[in-house]
Amino acid sequence: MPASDSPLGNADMSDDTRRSVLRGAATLLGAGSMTALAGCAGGGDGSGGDSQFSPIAEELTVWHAMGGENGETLNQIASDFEDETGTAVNMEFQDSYENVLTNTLAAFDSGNVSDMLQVDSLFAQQVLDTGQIRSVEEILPDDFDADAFLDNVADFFTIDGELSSMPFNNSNAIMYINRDAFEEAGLDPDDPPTTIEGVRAASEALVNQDVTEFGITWPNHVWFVEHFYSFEGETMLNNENGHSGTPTEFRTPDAVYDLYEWWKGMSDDELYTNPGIEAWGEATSLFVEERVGMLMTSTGSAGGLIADTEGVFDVDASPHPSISDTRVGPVIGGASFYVPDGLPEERYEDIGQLLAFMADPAVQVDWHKQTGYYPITESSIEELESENWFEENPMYATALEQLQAAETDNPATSRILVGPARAVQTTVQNKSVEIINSDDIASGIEAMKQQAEEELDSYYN
Amino acid sequence: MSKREVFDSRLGAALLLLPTIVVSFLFLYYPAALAVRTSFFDSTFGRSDEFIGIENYVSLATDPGYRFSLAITVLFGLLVVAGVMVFSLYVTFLIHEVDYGESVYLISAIWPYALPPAVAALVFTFIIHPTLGVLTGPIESLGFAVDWFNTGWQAFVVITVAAIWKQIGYNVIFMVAAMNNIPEALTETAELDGVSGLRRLISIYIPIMSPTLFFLVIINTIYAFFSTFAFVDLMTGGGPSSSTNILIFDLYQEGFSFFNFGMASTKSVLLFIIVGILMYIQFQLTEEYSHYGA
Repeated sequence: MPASDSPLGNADMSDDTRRSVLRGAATLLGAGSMTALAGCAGGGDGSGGDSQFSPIAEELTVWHAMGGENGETLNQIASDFEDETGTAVNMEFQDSYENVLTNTLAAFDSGNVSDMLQVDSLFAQQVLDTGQIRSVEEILPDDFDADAFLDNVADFFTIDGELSSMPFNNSNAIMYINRDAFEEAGLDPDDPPTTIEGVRAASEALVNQDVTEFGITWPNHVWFVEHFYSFEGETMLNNENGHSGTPTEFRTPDAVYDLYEWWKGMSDDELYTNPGIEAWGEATSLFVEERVGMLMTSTGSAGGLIADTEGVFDVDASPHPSISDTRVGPVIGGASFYVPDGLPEERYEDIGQLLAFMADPAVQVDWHKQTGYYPITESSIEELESENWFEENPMYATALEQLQAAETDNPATSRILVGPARAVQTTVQNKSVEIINSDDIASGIEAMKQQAEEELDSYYN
Repeated sequence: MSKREVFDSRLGAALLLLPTIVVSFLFLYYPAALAVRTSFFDSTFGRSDEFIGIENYVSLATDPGYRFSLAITVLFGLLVVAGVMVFSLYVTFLIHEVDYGESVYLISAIWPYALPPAVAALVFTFIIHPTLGVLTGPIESLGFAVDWFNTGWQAFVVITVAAIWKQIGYNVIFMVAAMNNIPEALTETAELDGVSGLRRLISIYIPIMSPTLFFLVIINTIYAFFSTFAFVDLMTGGGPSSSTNILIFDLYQEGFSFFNFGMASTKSVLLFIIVGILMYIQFQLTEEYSHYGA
């Protein structure tokens, strides 16, 4: 800020000068902040078509959203690949899935694109809608067996009969429990609740006996709402969550009213605490600090939770609770690698090699062990089983069993595939808070439905 | 301002100004003009722009969500500017009056200003986090339930307080400078006449400081409308129930989360106009009331 350069004592400045300096500074600051923003927002030129892209670097470039340990593991995979094939790979961390998406879309406009993009399944349609993606099935080496993937994983990532992107890091939501707190409250930690009703009863026991301050928490993220829909066997959007056609309707079956009724009751009676929108870290903190006895979060958090609670309390994993006794299964989500179309042809062979390498059972086994994301090919699961990995690490077994028990042919288990995903996601998250704090659940759900449908309408029409 | 001829040739002056002009044009005026153009288009990534005339403006004018955003932004702006000015003035006056340890107080008052907005937002979140916050316990022991993740008006208050807290340091710097410039003789005369401390602040210091205060009102207004983005983004995400969805955040979300560049540009053009009008009013008002020396 130019104005802050002024020294504390500015007695020698004539009033006249000061006045014009002040006015000048104010005008500049005003104009500056305003137009800078306007300029940023004006960047989208929206040039579609079959443009020829240029690569970022000589080496293969991969944009990903894996921070910390998981990012290190990814770097290791890259250097192993280089040792094996001689092809150098730059793994470039983009901070978040949202940033990968933004940068990808911006890159499509600018013409310099990365060779592989790690896209969260929530944003899959938005990337596909650019028409700038080459399906990985065309790129993978001929001897690659696309049937190697678990059925429900492959189903989600197959668009129009082709494997459009390469599934890689996949997880679902499970419920972690504090075994010590359960015992203290007279609950059986070996028989954790599996329905929302059971979660309420367990929460009451935990809170009424002053074992923990609240019963349960989870980040306010659309993913958990999707899980509730999916377990109930209901799709959130019509046309099979957008997998069989353009979605136009946000579905609100009776079970959803039950869900919000329960959620509101939990909140009103202080059995549930809202950690905030997309507040993954805060939710985990509440569990680790023993403020809540149960936590719903990603299977990918298992490793971190074991480390953070070591010596404090025993943590255990149990399946995600469901609204009723119907348990169809979790939504298949997670991220996958997309490859842009229109790069120089000679690069696709190397990209195909790298994709195949990342799906290799040995790589998948290591990836699972170090991150907690579940293995996505049958052969890697077989290998882990032969090492007795799941017996020694029962928390990981819970996650995988939940996945394998899912009714994969039920469209509800496929995550929403929709262009304006971020807008629908934000709507569900914001409206959820509104609903649980209003006296009229029905009109709140109706408002959520209406707003989500407006977003679908304005994107597709 | 007196007319000074620093340069002999106009060409020389123009040459020296050129870098500034080029940068301003490239990064300010040209993008701003583009934003105005984009506001008449339906524009997003990966599709070609479609000219839709004033449709974006019409839909905003009839959008109750946007009107609500506008209303809370104005309220937020008023509260932040008033809060910052009043509190900073009082703090400055106390620092001015204190006999010992003036610099210690000054540094403590300025400290929050030294934090980048994003860091300040995170620090403030953990001060007043509904379950993890250090201040939450003491406040709740007074019988008040802190629940700003769920309760709209509480979130609005938290954001407002955070925004005021962050900006006090900046104001204190300028106010201390202005107050220290007031001739000691005036203070002594007032004291001899038995004028109380607060009266002295209101009737003597404030009028003398008015040019500085005017400048700060402008800066604080800009701050409230634009620089408070980090607090909203990191602390509330515009919620709950849109209660902290101020225009700058709304615009950002439209553009960079939902990629509706046409609509986002429309919002930024409207914000430009709104703040422009506010600035004009402020200049008119202060023209009348500011004292620029004898």
